[in-house]
Amino acid sequence: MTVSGKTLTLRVPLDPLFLPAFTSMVEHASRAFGMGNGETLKLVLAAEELFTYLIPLADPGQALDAECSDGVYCVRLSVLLPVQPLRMRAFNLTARWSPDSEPDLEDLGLLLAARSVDHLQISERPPRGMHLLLTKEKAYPEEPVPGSGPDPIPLKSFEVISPDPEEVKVLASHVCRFFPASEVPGIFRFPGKLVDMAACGEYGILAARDKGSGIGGGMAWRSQGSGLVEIFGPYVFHAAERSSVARALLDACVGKHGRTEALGVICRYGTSGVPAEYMESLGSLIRRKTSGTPLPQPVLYRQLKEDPGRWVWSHPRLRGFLEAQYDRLYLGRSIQVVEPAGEQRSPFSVFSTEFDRSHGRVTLRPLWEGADAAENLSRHMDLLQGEDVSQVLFELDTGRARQAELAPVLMDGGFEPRLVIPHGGEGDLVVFQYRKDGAGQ
Amino acid sequence: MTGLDLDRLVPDHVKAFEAYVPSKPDDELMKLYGCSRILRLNNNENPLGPPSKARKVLERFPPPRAAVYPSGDSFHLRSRLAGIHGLHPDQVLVGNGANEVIAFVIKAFCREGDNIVTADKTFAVYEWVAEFSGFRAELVPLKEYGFDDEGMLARIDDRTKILFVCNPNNPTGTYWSKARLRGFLDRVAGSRIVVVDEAYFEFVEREDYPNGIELIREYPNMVVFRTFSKMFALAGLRIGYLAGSLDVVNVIRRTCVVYSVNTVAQEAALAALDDPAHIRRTRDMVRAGKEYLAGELDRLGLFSVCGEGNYVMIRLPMSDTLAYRKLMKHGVMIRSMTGFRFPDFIRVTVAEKPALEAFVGALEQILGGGAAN
Repeated sequence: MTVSGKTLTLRVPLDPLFLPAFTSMVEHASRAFGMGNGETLKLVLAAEELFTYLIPLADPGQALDAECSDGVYCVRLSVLLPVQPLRMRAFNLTARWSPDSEPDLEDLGLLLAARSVDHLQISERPPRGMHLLLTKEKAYPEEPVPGSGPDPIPLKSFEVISPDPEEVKVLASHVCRFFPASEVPGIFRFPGKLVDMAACGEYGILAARDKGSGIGGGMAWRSQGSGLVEIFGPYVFHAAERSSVARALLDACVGKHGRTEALGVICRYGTSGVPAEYMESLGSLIRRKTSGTPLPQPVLYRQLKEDPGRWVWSHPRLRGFLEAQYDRLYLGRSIQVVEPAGEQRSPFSVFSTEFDRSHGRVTLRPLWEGADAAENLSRHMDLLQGEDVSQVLFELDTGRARQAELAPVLMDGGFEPRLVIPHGGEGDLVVFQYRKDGAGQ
Repeated sequence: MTGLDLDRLVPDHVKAFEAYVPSKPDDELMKLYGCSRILRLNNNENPLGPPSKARKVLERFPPPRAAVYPSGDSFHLRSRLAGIHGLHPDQVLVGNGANEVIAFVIKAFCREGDNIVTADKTFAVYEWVAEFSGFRAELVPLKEYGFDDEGMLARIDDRTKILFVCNPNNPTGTYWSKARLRGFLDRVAGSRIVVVDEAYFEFVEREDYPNGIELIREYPNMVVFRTFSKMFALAGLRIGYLAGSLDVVNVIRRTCVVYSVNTVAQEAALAALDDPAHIRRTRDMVRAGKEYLAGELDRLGLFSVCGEGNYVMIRLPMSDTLAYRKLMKHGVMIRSMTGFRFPDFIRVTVAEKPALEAFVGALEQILGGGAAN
């Protein structure tokens, strides 16, 4: 398979007459990129709602720039919006609408758009407006649980390789078979998707292979923003060779990233395969076994560059936690305290919500800071009570001063800071966990 | 006002490139890491400082001369270097540090689709400059910590323009003998430019170590880099040079930035060349320092790679970047080696004994475990 760079672009006037042209471009591009009917229709629905929402906000003759691209495992619709500010509130998972309320009714379109896609990223593009990236993933068959196939044979000697697609599928199947679900990211249960995501560079994969014995272990990684790489594994199938194979895989992975823009690697899955001393402990999150018993979930980290030290923003209530973490991790940080001084705030906040249904985890992140953050958080938690979620996390970026003000909102809303991920965002990321998941127990 | 569309303006190879983040100044680092001094053992600088004649140039530089442009092509320095090496002055090009002359050469010979060949675990700037400029860097794994001549020859393809050899290699200190370098050049047979980076030339005392500049007459496709940053301790002034055959240097000169080397740097470099005692003193210090470190590292049970040059590479039982942060809390700055593709190794500049004692003391503490480490 070759990685495609197929992209369709369209500049279309924000006029109801051109709605069919816009949705038709999205539909035909999606089908041409190999997306199934159901997923295509959902992306078309998102495109239609978005366009319709924008029409009354546009000046006469104003156009929208759209780009539909083939992401191999997904289709991405990138839209540059010539209006500002958007009614951002509609992008919250919990946004409600009422047929009696005209403004809320207008927001319904955006809400439908947000919920029809798998990922939604919003960013400012001053001075023209906002950039929205809507991603709809294709459907893939799931690996049966437990995985199938012959047992792996112990390695006699091995080399670390970039596996071909068939080897990736074997690796994924063995990992699902021999490691508990809590140690394995959900993507391994969809080997075809993993192959496609590796082909388009979203995942990197290494395997330890003996020409006689086949695949004896492997690991994967994925970029989390520009500064951080999340690694999964190493997973080694025979205990006797665990240490040497894991070390070789990790060295190869770290070597691959040593001269990239990544500043660090983080490991939350497959931590038991990481040799002692290879990575640092950032702390742990709490996950619940099916019996309800809380278990610590270690989070490991290895920095790839010499830490240059930095300023970070913090609310006074978070300062003690940050000082303790920075001291423990030997990180040079100058903490700048942020407190509101009565300045104007946007009335609405927006949180992005990332579901990891295979692990019952939800991660919230602030997209937009606003005066209603406490109410918004409370609405999110109410909604999540009804979902099958056992771990709710909230990430704050210490590189963004405005996010610091959310710390007391989170702490009063039942969250507690668990750990710091150096350079995980623009600055360091503070990961909060909702206490009712068992954090703090 | 119109929007700044960086997405459209920035070429893809630049988007993919990493901006180099240099370490912060000492005063900032001391504040951030809570230490009272910074002992810089990270950049292979010479702690003895510049040779005495160069110091005098720095001390006596008349401020009014700062108002006048420098010699645009470092005329006097080139003439002097040519005299020392038996070359024509036009066979020498002076740049604002060796990094600049690396860029001159790549710019002079590579066009879209071309590549360079070098080692995977060596000075990163060859690879960085090539990739930043949009050219592929073919990286050949080191063999027993040294450049693999056969591997490099095998990697040459139709689009290979330049082969970079770091001799001695930074950070492993391995080197090619004169016979091996000749053998390599014979096999390349003038078909590609061969750059031999001799940044640490003056530190090497081995009899079979080649003086690349002496081979230029015989191998006109060879370009040799030297620097005043290491042995001559003028790193803060940024000055280095290249030497090659007249035809090759005439091509490189077309891409060269003139007036990039300031007057103080040119004059201090000129004066530094007249002080053989400085080289002897530095070599003595490096020899003694390596001997001291070898004993201490042996006592601590640490594996090290110590070849030529004023640096030693040490493998630690922990992440090198964690070791960097822990040592910074003790006011000791080393180079972590993950960026050189040697995870868990650190590189330490060989300095005078008190500095090395402070390093060993800090290292012992961070390896010792416990709350105070």
